[in-house]
Amino acid sequence: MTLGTRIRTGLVLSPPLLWTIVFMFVPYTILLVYSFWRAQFPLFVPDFQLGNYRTLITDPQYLNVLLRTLKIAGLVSISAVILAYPYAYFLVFKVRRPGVRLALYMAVVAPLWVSYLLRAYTWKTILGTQGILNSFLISTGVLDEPSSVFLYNHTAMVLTLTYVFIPFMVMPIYAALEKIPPSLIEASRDLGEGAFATFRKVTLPLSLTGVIAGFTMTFCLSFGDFIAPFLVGGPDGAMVANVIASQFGAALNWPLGSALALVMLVLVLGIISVSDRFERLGHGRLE
Amino acid sequence: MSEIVRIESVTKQWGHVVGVDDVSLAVKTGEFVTLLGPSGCGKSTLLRMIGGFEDPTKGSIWLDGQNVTHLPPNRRDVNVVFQDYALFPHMSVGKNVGYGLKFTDEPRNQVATKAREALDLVGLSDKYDAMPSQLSGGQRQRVALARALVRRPKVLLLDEPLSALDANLREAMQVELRHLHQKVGLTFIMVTHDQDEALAMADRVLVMRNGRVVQDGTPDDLYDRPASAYVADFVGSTNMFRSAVVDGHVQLHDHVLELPERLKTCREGQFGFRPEKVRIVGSGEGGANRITGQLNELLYHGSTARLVIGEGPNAIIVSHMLQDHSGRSALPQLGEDVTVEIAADTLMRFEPEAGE
Amino acid sequence: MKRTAKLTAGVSATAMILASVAPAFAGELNLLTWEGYADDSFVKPFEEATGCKVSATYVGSSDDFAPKLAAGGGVFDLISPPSDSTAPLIAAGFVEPIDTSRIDRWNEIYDQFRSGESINVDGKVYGVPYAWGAIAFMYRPDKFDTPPTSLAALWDPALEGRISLWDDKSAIYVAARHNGNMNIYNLTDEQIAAAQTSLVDQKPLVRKYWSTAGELVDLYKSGEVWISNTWAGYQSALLADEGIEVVEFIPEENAEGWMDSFMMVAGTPNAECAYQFLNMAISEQGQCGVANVNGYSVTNPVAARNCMSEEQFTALHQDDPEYLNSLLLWENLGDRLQTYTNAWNAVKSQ
Repeated sequence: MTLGTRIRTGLVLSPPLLWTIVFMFVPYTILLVYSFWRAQFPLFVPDFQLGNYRTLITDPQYLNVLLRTLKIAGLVSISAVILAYPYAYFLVFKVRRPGVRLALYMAVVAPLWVSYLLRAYTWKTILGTQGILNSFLISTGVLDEPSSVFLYNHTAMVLTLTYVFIPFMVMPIYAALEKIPPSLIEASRDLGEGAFATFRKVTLPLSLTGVIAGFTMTFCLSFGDFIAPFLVGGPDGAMVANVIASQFGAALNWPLGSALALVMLVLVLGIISVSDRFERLGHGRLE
Repeated sequence: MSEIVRIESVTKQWGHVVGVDDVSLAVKTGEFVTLLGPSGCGKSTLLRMIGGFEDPTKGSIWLDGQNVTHLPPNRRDVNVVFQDYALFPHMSVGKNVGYGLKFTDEPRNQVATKAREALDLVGLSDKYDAMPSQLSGGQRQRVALARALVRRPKVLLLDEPLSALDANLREAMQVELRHLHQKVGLTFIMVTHDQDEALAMADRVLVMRNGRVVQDGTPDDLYDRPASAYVADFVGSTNMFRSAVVDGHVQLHDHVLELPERLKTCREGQFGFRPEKVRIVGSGEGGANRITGQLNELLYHGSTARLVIGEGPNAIIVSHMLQDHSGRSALPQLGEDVTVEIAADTLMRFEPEAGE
Repeated sequence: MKRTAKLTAGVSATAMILASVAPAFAGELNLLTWEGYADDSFVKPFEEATGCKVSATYVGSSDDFAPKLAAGGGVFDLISPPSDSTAPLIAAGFVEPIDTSRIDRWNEIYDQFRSGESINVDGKVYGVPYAWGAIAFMYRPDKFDTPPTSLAALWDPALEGRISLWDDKSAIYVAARHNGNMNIYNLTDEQIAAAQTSLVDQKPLVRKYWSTAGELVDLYKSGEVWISNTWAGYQSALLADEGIEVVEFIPEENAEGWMDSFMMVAGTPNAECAYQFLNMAISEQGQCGVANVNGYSVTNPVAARNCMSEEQFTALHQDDPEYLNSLLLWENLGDRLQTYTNAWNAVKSQ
């Protein structure tokens, strides 16, 4: 078999491989090539230079946005864990009727079927100066006049992204908790530990894989988001994806945009591989 | 011996479903008690109530003189060996065994020492640092035992402890558990659906049915004097028949059998006898309570042979102990007529059970 | 860019195949343009009269034209970029020269548009001016005791959280004028840096930078914003429909003016239909069409005179060359574009 036929056979036999090449490898390669090009009026010219990467390091605006994006993504993931874990715990261990459990589970997961944009937009109507939250606070006498502190800032972005991505936190945690045999919790109680110590020593460690998976997904999804800054972010709300979009759009500087996109890609891959390592540490325990 | 567990009229209901129905029971210190019955009979629920995992609907549970009816598991001096062993998969064997010791304020080094001792007791001292996933089923079982025993509980509860093991290992573990019980001198309460296991291991067996205890006795009691047809059938096998009592005799199909003195005055009812108690006698030999019939089936179970004499609903089953190798050749051939003796004192009579 | 060329050819071939299976139409025309610029009110009659089927893709911002063409723009025949975005399109060869002899009423168009540098390069004409307007400012009169007259209002701490600004390099123009630099299309690096600083100082006062017309309308509607810049005539009309009163004004520091022209994408196979459309666009049909739909001023005052009421004619400043002349009409930034956009991005990333 010649190399040519072998490659051809391989391609025919594995559409997934072809798919990967066409839709993953090729675009990333183009991105990589572009990142070495140079912006020159009117567009950009082929080159091999590291100027774009140098710009990313030396111009503080990029580091600034990157740190802000990391902060937002981190806050989103943390608040999602804080909300999702007790909820999933409640569903798995406290709700006895399967129908009720399914309904409550779907209540969190079903919004995934609704357009992302619509869900994010909902928060605008809730948090706005004339929004539902303000109306509520005024009608209950907490506020005298509408406050504008709820919308168009980082808090609004964290809130919206948490809401939008929380299903990705609930699902793996729920799955991890559901996999824990009830006998393990009974055994801990039987061996003299109270409810809280049992949670700390048994339930939590055994559900950590779910938390890590959920954290990774939520973090990466928020990290790459550019809708929330646009909808509910304030003047200081731009995140990395917005800057990339602007480089490909208004600035017409695809090389710089490509370099930034690659940096972002590497960061996300780094996060995924670290979390994968953590997950593997805890893997196989409940087989 | 003093009383360690007392259960007073305990009932467990979920809505209209009755799991345990008004059970009372007392267990003495050092006893090995088995709760025996088919699945759904309430034996596991009773055990879980002793362990503190279920709250009784009615009645009370006393442990060493203390009312523990509504205490959580962590405040009862009992420990459980779970059916699936429930070893913590994220902890080493040593940590699993030492898990329950920290709470009782043992010094740190004492925890490790005691855990090692407990593992030693079950022959796994070399597995201290292994993870549960690296152990075989039998080894996990032993770790679970060690983990429960290390706390020296007043009562050890075993929930179908051997059901997940294969047959060979199960028999070996039966012996081992029995030895362990004698060695540590603790009170064991075990749940099983396996009558052989119950009879082989326990000092005392409680047969349960529909949430009630239908018989409470030693293995011998159960075997020789089953209180009901249900027990007779569940513990060992029994040839059953109904008959009127005429002049101190009963009728088994075409044959008339003489009742022992104690049953002669009974009225009609259900009678039975154990296949093992039937004796094969030389054909044509006369005597009381002898039956002759055609041998229709012959199966060897190791050292015993199972014979089916007669046909259909009239068939009786005989279990014959083979003395030695010549035993087989001494048996009649298939299709031949066989005469057996059902001695009068082996006949049993069963009272009709409530609701039947 | 060979890759782009190939892609263009491929897409054009597809377009031709599609055209050949739709025999009901003499041709077809794909527009990349602003909402309203291909409104059914005048495009439907055009289709019926010419047999050219029009389909439009709408852009959200001036910055959408070049990237869409750079990514392989072969699907489009006509585009309508604003005057500050034409230079790269011409320089990159994305658009082709227009034969003005085939535009019947070419000479009726305002001269400063016809001869403006945004569509004239090396003696060739690359666009047909279509509509124009000011980047005016507007405010909610119910929130101001004294009407604002200066850009200083946009830096007024008393209006904290009530200010909005267009998310565009235009913000640099605004800040530069606020700083007294009126040469907004030829700012020095220092002047751009000063504008950047002013915008950073202004940030805490800004509620939100607006990107689309709809977004600005929402911001006023939901009571978030009281003062901002605006595409004169457009958002104020939308807000009037919502029952919200706003007042447009040209501040003391003046306002930018914009002009959109239709340009032909290089190598378009639908040139015939394209010329027919361009002729329609600067006729009464197209001029009053866009004026009625978007509220913009138009480039052919002769046609406007014919089809507009006196009132509308005046309101759109079609009778007032002085007004048009007073605006700081957008100019090509050329290779300074990077510096401007970079400064604006730096403000947002702060």
